[in-house]
Amino acid sequence: MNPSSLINMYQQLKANPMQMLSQRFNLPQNLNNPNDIIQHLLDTNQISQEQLNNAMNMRNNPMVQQLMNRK
Amino acid sequence: MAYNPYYAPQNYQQQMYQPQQAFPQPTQQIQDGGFITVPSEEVIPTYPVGLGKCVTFKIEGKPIVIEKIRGFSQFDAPIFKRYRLVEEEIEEVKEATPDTIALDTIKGEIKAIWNEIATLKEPRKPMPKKKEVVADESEQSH
Repeated sequence: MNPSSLINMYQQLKANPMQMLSQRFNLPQNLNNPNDIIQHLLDTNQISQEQLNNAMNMRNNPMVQQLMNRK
Repeated sequence: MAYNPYYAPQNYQQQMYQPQQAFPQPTQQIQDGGFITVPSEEVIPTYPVGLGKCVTFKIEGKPIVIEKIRGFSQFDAPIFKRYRLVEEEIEEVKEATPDTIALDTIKGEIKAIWNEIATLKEPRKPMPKKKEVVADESEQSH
């Protein structure tokens, strides 16, 4: 992948992140709720229950919370 | 040999009708989806759970465990099971220390000594009498 393609992808992601995610993970257009998106990824076996649980547990980590609160 | 348009019965192998064996469907079992701690029960109804999975939730600060079970169909509503934890007193197991080991060996030795003393105290069986040698009169005359 050349640098120009990377820059193009970054610009698209910054402009419309949901569209990029929908294309990357083949999400239906009507999905907007994060829980619905995660449920769709689970049902299509794109992520595992264990991966989701680990990610949810990370949210309880104070360091992760500090990073998430940063704008 | 004349051409016989009819199949000879002995040459015609009638294929027995074999119904297609229906392979038994693998019994679908709910799989364990892991254990996760959540701050409150409100998070559980919206927590994503995969098809055929059971996720166990522990509520922080409360002795409550909730299972969220999702069936194998997207149209199945999740099932919730609620459990309350009960604390049990655990008996402390006394570990063998070097002092206790030495004490046990000494006790064993003392017991062996007492057993030996007990055998010594038992009445002895009478010894068989020795045959008395009768002096020969002929020898006495000398």
